[in-house]
Amino acid sequence: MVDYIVRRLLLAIPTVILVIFMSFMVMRLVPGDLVDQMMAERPYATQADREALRKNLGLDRPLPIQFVTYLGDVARGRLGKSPWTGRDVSVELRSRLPVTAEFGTMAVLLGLIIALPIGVISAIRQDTLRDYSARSFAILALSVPYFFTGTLLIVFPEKWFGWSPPLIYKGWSAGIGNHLYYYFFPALLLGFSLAGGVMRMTRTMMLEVLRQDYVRTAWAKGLRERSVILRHALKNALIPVITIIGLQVSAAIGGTIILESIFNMPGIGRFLVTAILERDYPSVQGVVLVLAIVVVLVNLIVDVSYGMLDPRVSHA
Amino acid sequence: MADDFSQRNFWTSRGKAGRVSRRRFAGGALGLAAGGAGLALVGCGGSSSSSSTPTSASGSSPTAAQAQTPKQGGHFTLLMGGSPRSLDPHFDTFPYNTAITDNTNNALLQFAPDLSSIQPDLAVGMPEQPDTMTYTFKIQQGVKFQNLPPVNGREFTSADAKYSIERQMTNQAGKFQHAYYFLNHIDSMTTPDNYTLTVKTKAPYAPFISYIASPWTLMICKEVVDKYGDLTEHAIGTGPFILKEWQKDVKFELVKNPDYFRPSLPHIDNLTWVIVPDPATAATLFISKGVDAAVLGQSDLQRVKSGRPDANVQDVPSQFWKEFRMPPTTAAQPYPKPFDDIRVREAIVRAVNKQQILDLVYSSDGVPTFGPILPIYKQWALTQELAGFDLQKAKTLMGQAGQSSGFAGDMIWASTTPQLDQISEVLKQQLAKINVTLNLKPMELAAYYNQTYSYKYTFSQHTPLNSPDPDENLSSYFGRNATYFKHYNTAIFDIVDKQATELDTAKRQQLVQDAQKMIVQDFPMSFMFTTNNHNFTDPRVKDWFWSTDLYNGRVEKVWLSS
Repeated sequence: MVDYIVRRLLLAIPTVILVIFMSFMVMRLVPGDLVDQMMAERPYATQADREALRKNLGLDRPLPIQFVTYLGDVARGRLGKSPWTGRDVSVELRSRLPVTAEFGTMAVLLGLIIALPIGVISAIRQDTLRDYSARSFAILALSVPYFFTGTLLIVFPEKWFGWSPPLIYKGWSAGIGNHLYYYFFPALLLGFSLAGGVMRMTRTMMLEVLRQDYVRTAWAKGLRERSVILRHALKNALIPVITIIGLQVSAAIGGTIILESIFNMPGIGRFLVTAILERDYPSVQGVVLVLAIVVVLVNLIVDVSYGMLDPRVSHA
Repeated sequence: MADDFSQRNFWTSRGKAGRVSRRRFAGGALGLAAGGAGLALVGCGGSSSSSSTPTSASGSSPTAAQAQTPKQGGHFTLLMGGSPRSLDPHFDTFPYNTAITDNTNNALLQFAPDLSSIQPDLAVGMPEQPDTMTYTFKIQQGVKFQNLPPVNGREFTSADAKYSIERQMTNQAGKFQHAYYFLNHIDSMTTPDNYTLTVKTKAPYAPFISYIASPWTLMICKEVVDKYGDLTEHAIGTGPFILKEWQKDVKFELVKNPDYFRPSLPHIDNLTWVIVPDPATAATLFISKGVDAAVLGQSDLQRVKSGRPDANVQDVPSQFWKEFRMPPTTAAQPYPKPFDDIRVREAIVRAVNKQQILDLVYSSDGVPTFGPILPIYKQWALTQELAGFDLQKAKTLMGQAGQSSGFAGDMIWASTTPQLDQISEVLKQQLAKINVTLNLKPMELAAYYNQTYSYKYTFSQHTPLNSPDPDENLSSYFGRNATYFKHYNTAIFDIVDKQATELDTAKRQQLVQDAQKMIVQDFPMSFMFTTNNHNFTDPRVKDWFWSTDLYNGRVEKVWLSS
């Protein structure tokens, strides 16, 4: 297992380098230039001013040299400084990543809490009212975008009931209750959106597993329903579900970008949006790098978990 | 010393004779409706009111508040539409910066909240002007920096003022964005004593006083710069509030400066700016009384008015306004055909129905503009339309220019709000009536900047900032060294240059008027309109005065009745 993990981590290095290369190139190839942006805020700027700024930012060098220099910096743990704020990107990420990580984790957990029971019930009560309701719920979750439900949650409860979810960020220093209460509503929205896919996959896999011989055997042995469903069926139905969950981490990251703005979270999503708009190359590259590493690690965890759930899956 | 020139200078003479009462108009600028130069984020309202006069939805008018004795203490919470990039007033151009630094620092002079005059801040009075190129500032004695390391409450002196201005004019592109205020204009600065600063300009420089009063020309402390390298994270000055905490993208917490040089000010003990970029969220926060004051946008205007009928609301024309531009020109890049025919340009300008755009897109919530200076600057703006909507004349001009069958051209704009997209759609319909086809090309902001500052486009819809001093609105757009726009007309260059050196108010006003007339009648663009910002406040907030987008964010005189 350790060999497998090491091998996967080594294989992840070229993936991460490729991601760095792509984010580096894309930022420089899309229309709109950092120097133009900065000069747009300074009247009477001359061509000499522009060139001085370009040189000062290191953007006058050929792209391959810029890339290799950046790669070397990343290898040393330096993500560069924002040309706008002068702040270290790594310092910015250190304060923002925990916010996004906590939000994303809570959203995925809430999504699972919603999706797994509903998916299971839908499968074991196939073609009943409960099944139809659950499937409708899943379609609703999949089809209604979270930025829409987020806006509804901001506007209508306040209008109808004089209540609104907490909209000013509460860190741990505000107390664990306030902190979790603040996260609960955006996480619920994102979790709801993620739950649709998981619920449908859970139902489909459960239906397949429930028709397997070993499940029939379990019923024939006279095991209780709970035991048959949870111990024999669900565990074996979970592998594709876990794959979906792994993929949903990427979706959750996308969701945080929008919901962080709506709910005023100081996470990397908001930071990334601003950085893209301002063509803040080091900040965008830093965020993309961190997100790529997160996705790679989550997928590794997913792969490793296969072996734990199903002994037939070997990582040897 | 007699200061004849100060009597003749508009800003100086207004500051002495026509000062607006700060007591009456005290308040903070929630002028945070803009995300940056040329980009309005919120504050484009849809109220039926188009008045530039603050209106009140409750009985708690500024006049009523004036009659009451200010109450000390309390916690005032305001909304901020985005995060400042830094707290260095010499670096940033975002109003979010000045919202904080105008409360932690002072300037030598300061604009009155309505931007109609300039008044002393750290200076004892307006500067003496013994000749056209010398300004002598007398600085208040006993003013102390905040009692924080590394400055530890030492006295503010003329050396600090000199250092602050010198630092601001550092010629480093990308950092000192306001260096142009003084760079190449100041000849020397001397400090004969601790409380006197004498500035000599290289030539008569009319905008000097207003640039000294700019919120970007704040007085800073050298020790702080020496210790931290810059002021990106550290706002330490002589101002009424001390920055206690900056939680990035969340909030700023400020507390009263007990050593503030103005006795009994500030009235409030705690000041919190909550950073909320999403307009719907901002509206909900104000309705739910999560904040005491907010600048809100059109989409939520009615919701807030019905949700908070008790609130005071002030409709204030924004400093960010809308232009519809035609191709930029330089000596090497003259107008392309058919724009080289002035009749075509005039036809296009006259085909634009500004009021209709305001009505359709902003529910009439704004003010049409007649030239490059907004009507909010009454002393400088054109008072009558010289190139107004006249469809029949536009058609006739197109015919006379041999363009009856019209032509087509791309129009670019930064598609940052739905309203900007809607403006483009309406413009397309309006110009279709003279057979000019606009091919709409919405662009992402950075891509738009790239295109617009290459000065190669046919049509553009732009949202620039209009500043209190006319020179900023003339030279940087229509002057010979302009970079915000290019319009090659040497006669306009000359008159724009001339107004910048004319210190006599009446003569300068005339030059500014003449310059605007020349610009408008050369038809480089349609100067369209500005929309209103809507400043909402809780009734317990007293002595709040509207302010515009960038200037005067200080809230030292605001007080809370409960």
